[in-house]
Amino acid sequence: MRAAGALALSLLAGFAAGTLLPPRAAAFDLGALNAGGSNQTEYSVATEDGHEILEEWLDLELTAGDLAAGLRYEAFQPPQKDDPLGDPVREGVAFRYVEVGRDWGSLRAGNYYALFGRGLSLNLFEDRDVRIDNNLDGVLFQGASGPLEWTMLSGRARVTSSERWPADDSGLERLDLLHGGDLALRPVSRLRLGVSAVRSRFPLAGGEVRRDLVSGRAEVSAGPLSFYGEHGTLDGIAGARDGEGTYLSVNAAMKGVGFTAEYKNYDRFSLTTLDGRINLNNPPALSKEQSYTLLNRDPHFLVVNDERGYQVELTAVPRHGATVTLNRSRNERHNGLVWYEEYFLEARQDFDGERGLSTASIIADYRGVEEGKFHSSFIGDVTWILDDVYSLRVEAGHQHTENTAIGSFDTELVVIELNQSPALVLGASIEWNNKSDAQRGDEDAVYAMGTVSRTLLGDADLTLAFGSRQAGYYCVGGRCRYEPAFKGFESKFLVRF
Amino acid sequence: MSLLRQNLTLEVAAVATVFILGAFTPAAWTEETRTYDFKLPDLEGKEVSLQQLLAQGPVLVNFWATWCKPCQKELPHLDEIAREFAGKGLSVVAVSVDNPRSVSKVKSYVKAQNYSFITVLDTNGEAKRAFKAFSQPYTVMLKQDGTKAFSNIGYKPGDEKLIREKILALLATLPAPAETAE
Repeated sequence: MRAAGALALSLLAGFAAGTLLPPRAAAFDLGALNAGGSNQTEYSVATEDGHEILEEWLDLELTAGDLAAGLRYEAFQPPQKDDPLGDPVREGVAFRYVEVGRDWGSLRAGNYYALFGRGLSLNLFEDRDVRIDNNLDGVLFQGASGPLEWTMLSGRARVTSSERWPADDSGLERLDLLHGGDLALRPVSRLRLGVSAVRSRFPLAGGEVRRDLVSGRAEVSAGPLSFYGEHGTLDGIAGARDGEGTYLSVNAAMKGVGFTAEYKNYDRFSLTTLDGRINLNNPPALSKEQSYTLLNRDPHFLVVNDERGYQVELTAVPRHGATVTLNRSRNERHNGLVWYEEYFLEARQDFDGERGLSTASIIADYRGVEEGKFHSSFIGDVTWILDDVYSLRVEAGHQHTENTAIGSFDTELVVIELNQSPALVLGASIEWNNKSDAQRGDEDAVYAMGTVSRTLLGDADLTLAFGSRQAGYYCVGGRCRYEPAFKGFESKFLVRF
Repeated sequence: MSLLRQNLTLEVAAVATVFILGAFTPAAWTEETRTYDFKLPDLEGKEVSLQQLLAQGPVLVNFWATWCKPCQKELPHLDEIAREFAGKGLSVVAVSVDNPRSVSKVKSYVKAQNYSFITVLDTNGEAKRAFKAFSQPYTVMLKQDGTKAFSNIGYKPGDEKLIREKILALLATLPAPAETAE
């Protein structure tokens, strides 16, 4: 019952604080004391077998002058979406900290996130949409003085709530201890230099497993041109050859044209906890970040131990309101196997009128992946303004798939959204394909989903969905999580207070 | 009744209550006194302090990303707002939440579009966490004391008109700038 009680309390506290109390009480304004937070609840139930999933995050923060404190309560039932055990609840305070900040910097004890450079040596972050959270629990010290900036940290990766599903989870504590430091120097305004060092230690009976990652970087900005370069080395385990990682980025940008070119070479460069479950470094992946459903059917997953490649992107604005984006990326293993490559073209026109066509986009995308899958996709995306409040968006997509394992097929997807500014979206999507019975297997022939999204008071968001959707990846900013095919009801409620 | 159903019943009841009350709650009741701050690098690496901008007047903060389609539709309107209110006491700051995977594309995109608002890079998500900008776009209007005047989740055509109206209403409450002696 603890989960039920805590969940109810968190929901009611969040709702009350954000919407129901008078302003002085709503913000907990007690002189210099400020409080805030958010509550996110996601629930789904499958119509076929009644399988229910409830996920809950409650964040609370307090600040008083130079002091700050916060915590996050999490509850998952079941703890993992594909958990065979079904019912157990795993809940608790998964993130908490106290922090003092002054002119000299800030010192935090507890859980924290951190980023060194572009993440070649350390990248600790939370992306709740794709269920990634690799925070550390320990001490973080950050500061700056003149042209110098520094970060020093020490801590352990947490055992996530979703990992605590065995009945006896007493042996789950993660023993890896991480120490890290980053120093950045800006000798002149357009040049920034940095060095990072990270040491991972895992105690064993006869000693410890130790891994050291050291990297250096330089960042230059000169008018329309900018450059970023970083190189790092990672000690091999048990005498194995050291790993290396290199990332380069060149940028040229001026009115009407922008160009970005990136190169990577990651060889045995993945730094994880010893159990391999928590990534501690997350360097740039160099693939196009997609938001359309069809373009995320076979997304790129970075393999930091064996990948090299490049990405180039051109953005052109040939005339007012028109934008053309061209992207090309190629990723290969060190044995020369090209395992993921993509060509992407988008042409978008924004119109100025008060009524009628508002935006029209055409997207063409081709990608090939290692498993012998090739996708050619075409998407049209159009928005009409109906009046001052209402607008209509229609997205139509076609994807042709060549799959050496199961043969070729075509997929169609249509999305229609009626928007009422500023608070309501009514949406419907339908997807179908021409797979043969043998290709389809247990899959449905048609998937259809209806959604309602309502904003409340500007700071709360409720989304309800009912229907079915095809299995695929849900991606945000290039990070993805697999979602199995689903038929049923889903809700998501987020309130900030 | 299972534990899950008890939780769900509570949630549905709470959501329904807020859903109904939300439509009738006086705007004054939702006024905030929490303050916000960040220090983030702009496209040239120069640090931008929200507090320093607030010292000059209200600030419109928009969280966006290069891969976010609604953001791409909203940014031209933010640019119009930034140009319209330039020199009138309002700062417009576009906070890119692009992570290390896509942050290299931000400068190309913004410069090519010739946007006039201030763009800052929140590569490690510090400001995103502080503002609870879990989805993009997310727009927050900050009063000069750093508290939130209003916010807008997502972008739908027509939102820019409401944002503009609220900016005008907020600026109207500010004292008129002192006239400069000839």
